[in-house]
Amino acid sequence: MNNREMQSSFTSVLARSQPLGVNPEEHCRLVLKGIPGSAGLSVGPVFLHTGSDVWVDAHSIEKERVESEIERFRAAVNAVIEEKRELQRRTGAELGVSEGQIFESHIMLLEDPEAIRETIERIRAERKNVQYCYYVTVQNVINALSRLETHEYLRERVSDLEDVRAAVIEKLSGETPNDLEQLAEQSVVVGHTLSPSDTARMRPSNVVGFVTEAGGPTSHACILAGSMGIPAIVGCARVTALVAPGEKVIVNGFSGEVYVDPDDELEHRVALWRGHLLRRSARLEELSRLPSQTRDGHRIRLELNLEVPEEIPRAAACPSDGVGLFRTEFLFLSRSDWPSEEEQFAVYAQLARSFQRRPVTIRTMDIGGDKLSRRLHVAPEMNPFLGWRAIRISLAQPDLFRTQLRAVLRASAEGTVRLMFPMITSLDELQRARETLAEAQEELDRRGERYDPDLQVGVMIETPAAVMIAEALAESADFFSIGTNDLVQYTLAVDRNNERVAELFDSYHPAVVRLIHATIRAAVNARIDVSVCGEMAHESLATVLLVGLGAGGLSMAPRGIPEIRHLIRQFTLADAREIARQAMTKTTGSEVQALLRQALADSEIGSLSELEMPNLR
Amino acid sequence: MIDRQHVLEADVIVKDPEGIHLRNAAALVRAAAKFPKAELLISKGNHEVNGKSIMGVLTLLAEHGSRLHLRVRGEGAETLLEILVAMLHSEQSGTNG
Repeated sequence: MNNREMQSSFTSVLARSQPLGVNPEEHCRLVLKGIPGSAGLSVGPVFLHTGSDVWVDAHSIEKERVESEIERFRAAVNAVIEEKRELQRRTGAELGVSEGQIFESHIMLLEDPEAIRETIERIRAERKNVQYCYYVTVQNVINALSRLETHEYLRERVSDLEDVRAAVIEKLSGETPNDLEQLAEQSVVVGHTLSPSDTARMRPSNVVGFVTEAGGPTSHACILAGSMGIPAIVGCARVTALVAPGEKVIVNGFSGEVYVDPDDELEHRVALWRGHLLRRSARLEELSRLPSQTRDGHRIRLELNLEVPEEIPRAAACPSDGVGLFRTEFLFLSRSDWPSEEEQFAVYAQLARSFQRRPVTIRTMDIGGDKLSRRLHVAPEMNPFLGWRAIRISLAQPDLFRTQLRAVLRASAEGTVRLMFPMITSLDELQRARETLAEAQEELDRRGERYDPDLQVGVMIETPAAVMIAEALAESADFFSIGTNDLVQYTLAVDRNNERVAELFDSYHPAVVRLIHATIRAAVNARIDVSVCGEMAHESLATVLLVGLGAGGLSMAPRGIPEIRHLIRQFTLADAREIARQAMTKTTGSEVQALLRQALADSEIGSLSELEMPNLR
Repeated sequence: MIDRQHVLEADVIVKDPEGIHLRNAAALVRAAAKFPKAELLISKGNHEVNGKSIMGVLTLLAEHGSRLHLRVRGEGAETLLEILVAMLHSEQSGTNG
């Protein structure tokens, strides 16, 4: 059965009901608690993900630990050599000697006396952890090899060095490689954390839920789960130690609970609940055929945020006004080389053709932050969210950038395409991005390729800096799109993936509300379009506020559309404006939330309760 | 530092059309490893590396036609040098080892 169809979007309502009818504690081996990250309910065997993308942190070690750290390093290298020899024997037996030779080369890389000596010297001299020292040593070699632009063969060998390095570092971290590519049956993916490059490598159809130890409700895994319509739980302490690979678990994305090894009774109750969810989503779909307008007939565009191309056909069938945010990171993160213009064009063109006259907004790649590329982020960054990210990378890699822009431009001849730049913090960046776009257009002109000469170009408003210069940006942009996740993170200085401060991530903080207000005002004054595309656009509490502040569109994961559409139809624009005006006078986030909750309760959203889950207890 | 008096040296042009890559670097290093009491330094221009380090040899970035300077000393130095020169002169140096 398709899980995605089973999900409902009334997360706020469902979160408080627990219609299982039994106490799960009595019907399974163990109940684990985490933070609900994406609503829904699913059952499956555990796929334990231990991380294959190597990312090391640098930390100092005490003088007394230097020698034991060196011993650890030698032991790890020897252990990996043994594993490679075993692999060599196996592949040699199955595929012949020449296939086994690659392992021979790996063994020689591992045994390399200079690399070992340099790593040990580095541990002694810098007194840093061994993972970091080995990482840097190998990186120096990789950098030296990458310098030779023409030597394709050698550059490819960089991946062998990376493999070897990853194996040693995993050994040192006590982890075994267990790649998500191996995910064969429909499973619940459990891990300490799931990076976008992890999730990019797995087949979405084989995942029925995520459970992670780290992360807050807006971390990548949750966004992806929301977009896939599967449940996710984050901040679930020690889950990787407490469940076994292959063990059956139920993921309750409403309560944030994991039921480990359930009995038949509990499974039966869950199946009943899932049946109700399915019927409810059918009812919601009926609602979704009505126009998204306020009671006084004011249209609000409801658009989709899309993560992966697999979503396109289903998303195009969903009643929406287009795509407000098409992320392109998956093209860059799921592989080791860069995607060609043709590959990118194929995806963007499919998107444009699927939505036809409905506009699709393609955002240039937003790698960086928690989406690190093995090719670009060769050294660990202290503050990746303040580091080499998004438009900063694009502007520094003009060839890469122009390739993407040419692909987007060509797709614009296939439908209604809009282009959007992420993480703009200065007017200069926007102007340089537009100059690069003009170059890409000239290249296509020379090749005689077709594109939309009036392609709309927009700016993501994600930093307080962009808000403060919004008036200037609006003069060089055709539209704004407010990315609330980053805007909240950068405004409140809260890392949304750090579970110790995730609570401080408050989209209703007055600072955030005022920044959104200022952005919309600048857009309205410049007569350009403005919409909201962060997670906030998907929250029922925020709808009346965002509409009241003047947002012309809301863009969200496909499953959010029915509920938000339903809410928009409950109030008039004048009501919403009045509520937003009052929200602007509040001085704390909890006051803003209380106001909005009251407004929801006062409005005639009676039909919401009709949709609420019956309590089976 | 290698003592000048006991050092054997040779210049050699890389003949393999693909230059020095992972396979022939591995063969070269493996050959050198059979002489544990010999030292081997390989340089291209003023970049010199330990010939027993595969990563070092790779960083020479020796393409087809590059001139390499070999310096060997210690037990078996003469034999080792002969083997290496023959290997690098071969057009398919990767298959020798």
